[in-house]
Amino acid sequence: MPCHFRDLKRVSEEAGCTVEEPSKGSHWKVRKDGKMYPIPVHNGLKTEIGNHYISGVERALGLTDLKTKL
Amino acid sequence: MSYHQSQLFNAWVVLRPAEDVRGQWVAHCLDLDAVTQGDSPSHALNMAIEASSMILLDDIERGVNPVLRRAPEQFWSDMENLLQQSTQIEASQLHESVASGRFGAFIVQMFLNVQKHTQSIPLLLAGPSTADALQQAH
Repeated sequence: MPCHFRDLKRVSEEAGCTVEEPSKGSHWKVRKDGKMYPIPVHNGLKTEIGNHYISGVERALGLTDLKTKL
Repeated sequence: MSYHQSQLFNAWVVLRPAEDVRGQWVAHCLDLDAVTQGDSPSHALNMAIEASSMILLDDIERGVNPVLRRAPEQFWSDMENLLQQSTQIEASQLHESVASGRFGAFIVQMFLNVQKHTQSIPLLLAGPSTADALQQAH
């Protein structure tokens, strides 16, 4: 199920990630234990982010329950 | 494994329509397991180039081997299946190919030059129609 970027940001921060705004480009950065994963944000906080992406960030950062919290 | 800053990084990207976000295309760089999205295939591809470059630079800066990020085998198998049904097209034909509706998924092989932060896209393969691609995804 897709979500808005603002919700993904909130849930990621609750899971102990830091979320950084970019100085350039369209991707924010979500980071956990030093590992970084880019978040596609080309429509601000209301950017809709699909399930395929959410699964990707879960795999990359070892977050197993992001989807259930969204 | 160490990386010289000017090393070329070969990456495979699969572009498909998003199943759950209307009007969006998903780009999945399998070598880095980096997923991103855009308003069109070319936008999604540009987003994949940006996201992949960010990951490579960040990993190299931190002394992490980016190859360890490789996507699970299931995604490579899906790409292999798609590849077998694909036709090679020129990168300049991407927009036209999408508009024609003939192809619904694309596989791009890209080479990222980490030092110069530039890239070239020498090979573009177009997969079956959108309906077929979506059917395959289920």
